[in-house]
Amino acid sequence: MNLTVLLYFGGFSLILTGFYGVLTGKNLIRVILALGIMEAGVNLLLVTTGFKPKAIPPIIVKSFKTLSLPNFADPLPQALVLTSIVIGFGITALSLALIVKYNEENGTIKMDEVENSEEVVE
Amino acid sequence: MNQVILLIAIPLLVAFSMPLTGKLFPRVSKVIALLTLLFEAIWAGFILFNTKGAVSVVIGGWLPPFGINLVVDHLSGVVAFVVSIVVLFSIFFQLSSGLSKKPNFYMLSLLLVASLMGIIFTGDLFNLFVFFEIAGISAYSLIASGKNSNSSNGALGYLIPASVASVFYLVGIALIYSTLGTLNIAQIASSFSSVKPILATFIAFSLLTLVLLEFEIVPFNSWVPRAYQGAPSSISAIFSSGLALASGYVMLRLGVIVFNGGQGGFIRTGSFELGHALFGIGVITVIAGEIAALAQKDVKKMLAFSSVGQMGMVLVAFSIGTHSSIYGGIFALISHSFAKLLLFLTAGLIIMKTGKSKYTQWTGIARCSPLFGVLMLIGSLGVIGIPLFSGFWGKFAIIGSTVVLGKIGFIATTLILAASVVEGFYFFRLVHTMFETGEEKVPKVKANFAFWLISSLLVAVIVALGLRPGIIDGRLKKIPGELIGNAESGYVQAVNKQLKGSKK
Amino acid sequence: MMDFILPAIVIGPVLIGLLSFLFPRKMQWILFFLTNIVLLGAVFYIRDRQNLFFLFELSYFPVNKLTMGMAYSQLGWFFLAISTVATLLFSAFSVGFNDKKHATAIAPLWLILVGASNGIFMAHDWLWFFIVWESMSWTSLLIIGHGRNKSFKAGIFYYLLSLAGTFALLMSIWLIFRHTGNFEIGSGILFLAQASVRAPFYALVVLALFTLAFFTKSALFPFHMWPSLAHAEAPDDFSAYLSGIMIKYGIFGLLLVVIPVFAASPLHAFKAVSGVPLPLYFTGWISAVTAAWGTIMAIFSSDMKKLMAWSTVANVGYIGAALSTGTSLGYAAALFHTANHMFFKGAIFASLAAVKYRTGEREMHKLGGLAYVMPVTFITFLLGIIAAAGIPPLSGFASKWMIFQALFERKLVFQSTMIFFASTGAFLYLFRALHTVFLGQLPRRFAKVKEVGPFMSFSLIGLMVLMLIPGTAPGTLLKPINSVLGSMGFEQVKTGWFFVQGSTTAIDGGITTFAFVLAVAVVFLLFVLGGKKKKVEMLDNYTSGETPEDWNLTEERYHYGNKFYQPIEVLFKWVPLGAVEEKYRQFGNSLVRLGNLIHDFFQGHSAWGWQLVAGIALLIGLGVM
Repeated sequence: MNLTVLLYFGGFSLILTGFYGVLTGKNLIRVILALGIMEAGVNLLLVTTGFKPKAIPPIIVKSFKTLSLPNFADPLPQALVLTSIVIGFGITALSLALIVKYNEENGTIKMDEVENSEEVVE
Repeated sequence: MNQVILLIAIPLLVAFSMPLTGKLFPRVSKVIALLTLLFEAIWAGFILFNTKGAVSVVIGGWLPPFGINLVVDHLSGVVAFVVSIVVLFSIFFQLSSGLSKKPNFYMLSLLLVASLMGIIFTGDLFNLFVFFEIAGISAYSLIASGKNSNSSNGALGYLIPASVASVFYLVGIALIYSTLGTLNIAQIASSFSSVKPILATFIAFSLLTLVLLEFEIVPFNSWVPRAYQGAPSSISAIFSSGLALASGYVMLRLGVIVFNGGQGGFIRTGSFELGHALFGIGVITVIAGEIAALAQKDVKKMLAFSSVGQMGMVLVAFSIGTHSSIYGGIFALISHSFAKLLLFLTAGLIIMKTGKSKYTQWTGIARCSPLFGVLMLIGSLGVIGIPLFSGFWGKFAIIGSTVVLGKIGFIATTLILAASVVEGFYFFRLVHTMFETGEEKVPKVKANFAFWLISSLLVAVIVALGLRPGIIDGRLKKIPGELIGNAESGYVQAVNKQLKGSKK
Repeated sequence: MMDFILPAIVIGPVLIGLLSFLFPRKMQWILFFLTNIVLLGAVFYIRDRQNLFFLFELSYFPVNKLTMGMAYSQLGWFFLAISTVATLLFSAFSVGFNDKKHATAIAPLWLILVGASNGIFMAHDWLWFFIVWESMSWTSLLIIGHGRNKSFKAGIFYYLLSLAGTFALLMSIWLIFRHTGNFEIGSGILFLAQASVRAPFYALVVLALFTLAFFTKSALFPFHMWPSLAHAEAPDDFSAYLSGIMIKYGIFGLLLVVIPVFAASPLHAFKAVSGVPLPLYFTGWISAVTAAWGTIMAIFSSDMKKLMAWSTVANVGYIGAALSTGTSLGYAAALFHTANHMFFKGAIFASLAAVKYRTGEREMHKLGGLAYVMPVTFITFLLGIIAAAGIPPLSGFASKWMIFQALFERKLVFQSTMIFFASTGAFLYLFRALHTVFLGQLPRRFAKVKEVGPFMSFSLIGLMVLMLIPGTAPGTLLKPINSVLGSMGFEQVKTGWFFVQGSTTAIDGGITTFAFVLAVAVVFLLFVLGGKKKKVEMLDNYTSGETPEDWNLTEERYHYGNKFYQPIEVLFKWVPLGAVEEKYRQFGNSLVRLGNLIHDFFQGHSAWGWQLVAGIALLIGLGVM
């Protein structure tokens, strides 16, 4: 088993673990944590797509004589992962804020305990 | 044409300056937000007017596939124009009704419109994901800004499944990048058939989960009733008429161009009949949505489920992938946007003024103020698809393209039409209740000038499209040709031409 | 010849209707009446101008060069003419009816409906037909469900059936379009006739869809229950229009599409039972059942408007049975009875509206003796039920006779028996209505009731004339009907002004009228010369001097019209007469329950990710299938 397969395997298993947490979690904080695990898994997966064994960082330094590219690691997935991490962070922060609001309104952070109220004023 | 980026950049700029200007000049900042939305509508209209065929626009001098490109064709032009109008009207309604005083609300709606424009114009799959996330973040916050106890519930109910689905989407992106080495939609489209069949199906599922979730397709759409009920009415209107429209657009683009390689006909990924699956799930959506709407007493929920049903019908049309079905689907989407916008805004105003959200409590409202009854009636007729109103022509084309598909098509058509009968029932029930003479005395509902302006414009659009589909027919009929086949003006060709240019 | 008079008779009323929303109510009704006068002129102006048409092109992508519009046809003109005449009289009635106390705001909608109705009769292609058909449906829903909760339930039931019908129409239109490439009615019929040999299953499906659309509109079995709800609950003056004209759209549709297809398809295309193609034979049975069913339900009704609505159902059954014989005598009989029913049922509903206008009552056993105070209304109603019962010399006799002749010609024993049963039963309920409403004793509270005003009287008298003339001189209607049959390529019926030739025998309207007048004169003479007469007070004979109030009973209980046919009701107890309605209701309830289930699925909080799993599983399942 080489490293790439291991990384792919790790990514998918993290996603599935997180997904299991989302499916079974009743506590909202737990669900958000599980979501975080899923995001970590997918980030790993994204990085892995740019992974090459024995690659060098994709930075052009003066020692390269020509533009015939050496064994660079693919830079694009890393850019994607950065974006993805930032988005994941934003989502987590927002959802925690929402949970605070939810707790203020319903007095709980468990989903099943709250019945949907019918009144709407706006 | 090159200035399409302004549609995304300007609202983003204004949105991010909003916290500052909102602190300093709260009144002015609202006006600025509204002017920005007006600019969006005008600019989108200008772009649509000048569209001759698909054009790819490079951002920041980085040629695709390294940079990100925006693609303008008739489809994206039309959809962007409708979305910008929808957002403009809803926010204008919200502003004039004096409900949301805080500048943050307008900041979030500007973010939403910017991301919707991004979703529509972008030519890159990852960029699409980013815009979906921005749209999501602003949508969750906007739902939570509602003033009822369902707001945070609705927001969380939307956030969690959408985040899970976006993880799936990222998995799809990772797989596409590792097999094809590009994320440019047009480039993927031209080489997607070389992907191994099983993998292609897997990728299609991963991407479609998020798109179908936003497109309100059963059973991905459990967020719909909660979010619609929790959000302010103008935001519900944007969801139904803007977000769903944009997601339907992505569904069409991904389905027809990427997965099917622009061949037309039912989508196939390898040996898997994805088109048949989408067709079936669309029919299920129509039935489930309409029947669920039948059981609702809450008007906003009823309208939400009605949107679900309509989106199911559009998905059926898109999955068939013939010229006439795509035309019908887009027509239906656009007319649904206008009609549902009218319904949501009118219902929102009535709920706001009377504080009653169930249709059973609406008895006699139209006795005192008949024009509201008429507005609801016209909106309903537009949604149901009664002749002389806009919904008819879309539904007419869709039925025409499903009924000819043999035995399965015949059964599906029957089911869709049976669901439409149910739809007719609950809409007329709603309208009639408003005209009933109730026992209690009902206060007269009054609306301001802004509402009458918006609603009369929408009525004019609904009736005009119904009487003369030819007004938008000239642009709409070019869309199927740009999607299907290898016409010179097509989407994929336009981008590929640019790619070849970049290789020199 | 391209002419704007055809669109004018459709768009004119619609525009006037939309405009009249701005006027006060009294003005609306006068405008309605005036428009109908102009329409009558226009309709007779276009008579026999065979090549009149109005077509326009629409830019609509899936169909290249979509033309739609209207064209003159003899069949359409016949329907247009009789409906316009009837509408004019109804509108005159409405002008009187809608005073301050009874005013409804339906005049603008009614105008739109009249426009749509004209459009249906003059349709040239399916698209136009569909558009005006659907416009007619929802405007009539708004009129029927006008304001009151109960009437809406009736209206929405009607509309649901009608919507199902229009969607069936939509499907069949596309199924034809797929092969012919246009929406023209004529080429569609020709194509279906050819297809009946090559692809009989396809042709049958399309025809069945058409028939479904027209059956729902005309309230044939199993859609026979909506008139009893809708006609009864509609605004009183509108019921006449609903029962007289709107129920005939389905008949028009059958004559427009289904009958020509059977006539044009080769003889061997369908199996035949006693000379009738099997599908037609089947519709004949349905019609016969409808006739019998409507009659039985009418006998049991105590509400006079409901009773007449069921009678309408029975009459549509007769018409359907006549159409289903597939002979030109049958078609002529159907057209003739359509026209007659339009006038006599219009007259009956108008006179009932007049009764309700003056008394405010609908239950028959609360009325009685109104003949003394409302003579014109009484005579109209009397003539109406004579015509409805098919007694010479009024119009219903000649057409019912022709229906029987057509059935005899094909030797359709079962259908003849059912129709015969129905028209005997008609005597029962019509007599009851006449007797309990107009004869007997006048309740004291109605002693001061007056005859209706001049507008309504004018309308009633006009309707009387229209019932009398075709009865005495059937040729007045049968000659135009002959030209309709001729234009559709059928054999014509042998008829003179007074004389009609059936399949077994012939009748002469002149002689029957003469005999009838003579008989009435003799009876009247005997009545005048006969013994002493004494007026009896209402409560004299029933209560033997006791006052019912002492036992907490109301006068109505003592009215002999109360539970009039209870013995017959007992007799029919085993027949599940309300079964179809019950099935529909159950279906509706289970739909709502299903909707709640689906909603609960959405609302379930623990379904965070499961719906995604379910969705993907569903996609895989459907794709593999």
